[in-house]
Amino acid sequence: MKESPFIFWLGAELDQWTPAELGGKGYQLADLSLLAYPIPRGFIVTASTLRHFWATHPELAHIWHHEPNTATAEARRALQVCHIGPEIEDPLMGAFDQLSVATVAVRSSSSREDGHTRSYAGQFETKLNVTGDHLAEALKACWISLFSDRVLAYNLKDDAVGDNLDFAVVIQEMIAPVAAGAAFTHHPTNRDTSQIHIEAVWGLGEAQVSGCVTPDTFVLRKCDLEIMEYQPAIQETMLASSISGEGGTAWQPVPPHLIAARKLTPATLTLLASTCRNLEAVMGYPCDVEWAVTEDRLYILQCRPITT
Amino acid sequence: MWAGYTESKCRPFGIRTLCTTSEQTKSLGVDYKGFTFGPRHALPMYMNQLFTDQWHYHGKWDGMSLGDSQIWLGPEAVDAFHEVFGFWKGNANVFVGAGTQTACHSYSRCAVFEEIELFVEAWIARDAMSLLNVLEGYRRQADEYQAGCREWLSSAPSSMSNSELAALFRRIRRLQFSISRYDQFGIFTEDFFERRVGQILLPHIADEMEYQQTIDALILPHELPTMRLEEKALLESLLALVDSDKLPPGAPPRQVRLALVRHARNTSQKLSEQYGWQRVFLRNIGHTADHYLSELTDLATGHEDLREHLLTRLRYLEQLPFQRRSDSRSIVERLGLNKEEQTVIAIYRALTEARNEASTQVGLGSLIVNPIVTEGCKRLGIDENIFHLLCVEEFAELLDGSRQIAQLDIDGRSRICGFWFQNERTFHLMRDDEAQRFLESQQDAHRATEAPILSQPHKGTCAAAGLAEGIACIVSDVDDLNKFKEGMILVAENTTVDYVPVLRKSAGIITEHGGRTCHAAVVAREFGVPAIVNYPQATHIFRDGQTLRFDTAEGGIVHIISRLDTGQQK
Repeated sequence: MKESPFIFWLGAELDQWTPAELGGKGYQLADLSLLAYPIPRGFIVTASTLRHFWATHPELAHIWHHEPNTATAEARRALQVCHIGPEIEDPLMGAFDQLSVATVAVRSSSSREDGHTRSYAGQFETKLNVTGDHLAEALKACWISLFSDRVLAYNLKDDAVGDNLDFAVVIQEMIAPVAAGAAFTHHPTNRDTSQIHIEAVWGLGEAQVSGCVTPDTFVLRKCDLEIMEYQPAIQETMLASSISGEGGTAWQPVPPHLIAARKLTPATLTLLASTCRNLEAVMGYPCDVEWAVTEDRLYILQCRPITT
Repeated sequence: MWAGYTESKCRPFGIRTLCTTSEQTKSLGVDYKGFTFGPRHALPMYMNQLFTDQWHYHGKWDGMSLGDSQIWLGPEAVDAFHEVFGFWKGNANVFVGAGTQTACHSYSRCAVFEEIELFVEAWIARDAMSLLNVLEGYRRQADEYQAGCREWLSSAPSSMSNSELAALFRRIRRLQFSISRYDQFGIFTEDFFERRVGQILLPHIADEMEYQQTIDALILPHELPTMRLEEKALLESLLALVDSDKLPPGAPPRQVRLALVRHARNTSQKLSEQYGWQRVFLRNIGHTADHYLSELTDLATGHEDLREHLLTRLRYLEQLPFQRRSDSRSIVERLGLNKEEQTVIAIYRALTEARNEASTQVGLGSLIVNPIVTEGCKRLGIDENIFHLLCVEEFAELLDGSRQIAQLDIDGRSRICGFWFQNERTFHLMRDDEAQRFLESQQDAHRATEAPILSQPHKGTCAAAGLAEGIACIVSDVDDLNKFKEGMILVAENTTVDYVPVLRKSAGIITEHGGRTCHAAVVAREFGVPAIVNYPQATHIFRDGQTLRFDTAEGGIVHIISRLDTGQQK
């Protein structure tokens, strides 16, 4: 398969690649992959792709002359109707085929996201369990989210959206986790750095992140990974990949025997906590880790500095 | 047997009382470090699933009691027991649910779990050869065991010397230990697959009886026809018992014993037909009369019209074909099962067969061991009940004279009727009087955990520190955000990115769900807004217009300082 400036494979050497080109999340994942952390296989649709798309669609070029509000609405409308075109679609679908999975997770990777504030995350589009048929559409949905009102509102805090198109999209094999959640390498509220704080829900971690579901909470002592605190939570519904051929996610009932069951075994907990402890040491800052466990594996989905 | 048979296949799995506190969870966890599951600390996720399934399947553990060596466990388990209790014992049983007789074994040899792990791994990898290899390993041991049994069945304990008797006893027990591994293996793996078979079949079949028949047709082990005959004989005896109006409580009725004699006869007949073994008649194969009696009592309390229930079951049994059916193909076609579903059923079938054979063979050990025990006890001048308080080595040593009965604290042992976990490693031994109190306290705890969630004290989890005071704004969906004014306290089920502009302007945040790292919590910390998450029913407890105050230093408590409801005053 020929090299394309639009596709970067996770696991490839970073060499001249920059966070601007891969996005904060994408660059971080590429880095984690090189460090042999267990991340789902996948590739990044680089920022060059969006720039190329922009350059080849003259109707988009004049958008920045508008007022910010009008500009974003214009951009969204224009993106909505444009087809991404074979120059982008061919390498995209080629990479998808090479991944050889039924569905993927499609996540926006802005150069400003992560690295800074977590509340910024989630401002951009994430599409889970996307089939090949809907991949191009999902990619465009991520791009469109760069121009959403909420991003604009958020940016009033610092600078305007501007004409910054450093925006990549990470595409990874879709994991079907038994349990997932977040781990902080210091206590989120009292900031005790001697503790690791882990929250776990059944199914996809998005249920934990959104706060739709109250997670099991584990607090472990960092030095020996002894469990200091365990707060169980009853969970009756979980988010999971939809079983329909169309992809997407759906809320499903938790199997009755799992509703009140502990979501992580001591062994899995130890593995997860030691991985996070290790991540913190390697990264050199307290980490906010998104993770998932399948029947037999632990995956690190994202790792970013704790911002608060 | 029969009560357990119907119950265990149809019992709903949802038991919510388990693992409700961290202490309980600790004691039920996978690794009892060196005890329950041996010195294995790194069981992968699916193994845990398997075990939690088990515990859930069997329900809440209400108490534990020393069992009576019906099932023999391996040397490691015996060692572990000795380490904890300071004396030797063959096994321990866990009794679940007050007054029920469902028991699962509280520990097994490590090898069992290694094998299960291999098996499940192979299953996940869809590696049919490895699955067969695991079963093949069992087959070899079964052959060795069977050959041994043939030889020993012809031996005559009464004509042996004490040391010969001791040696034979040791040898049989050693083989029983190894064969019982597969019984244990079968119990776990069979359950594992039984769940999956249930998941496959339940969407197609709503009727309990039809479900049972389908299972029987799909998975009919060799033993089933005989089991049916035994069950039928037992049911008939029980019906006679019910009709004679002499139902318990009371001493074990003679009719039940009669059933057991028939039960034993059928077993030996089956063995002679299937394995060409010599026919023997013996009492108490597998279960004791007390066991059946308690099952009967259980059943009588569960079914107001016991007679009708017995008759229904009997009629059901009578209409079953008493030979192996081969119409599984047509069921598979009728239900339209796919390849993978068929594989699950095929494996389940292989497992039930293997396990039934293993338990038959363990039970068969009694045929040989019981005469040895009877003879040995006679020679030692001890009651046969005392045998159940001895470990294998002790009994053998008493026989060959290297140990005296006076050296053992038999009286103390006989009064111990249970134990509980104090923490992951230590146990508390219970004497009979204490056990009663323990069970009562457990029942109280059980009732407490059954109480509805609403009765929990209202409080949440602190997600962002600080003191907040403001007018409550209940936000049920994004449209409600319009009524939010700066300085209000936002009360919502959870938050999304759409809430961010409002979160920034709020005096405080209260959410019904979520943990300390959910969206609402992280954003609140970022904006420096005090927040409480996981406050059950918050959007129903608080109302628009109320003035709320909370200080995260107090824990997750929220005060309503003014109940002013402007809406009603107008």
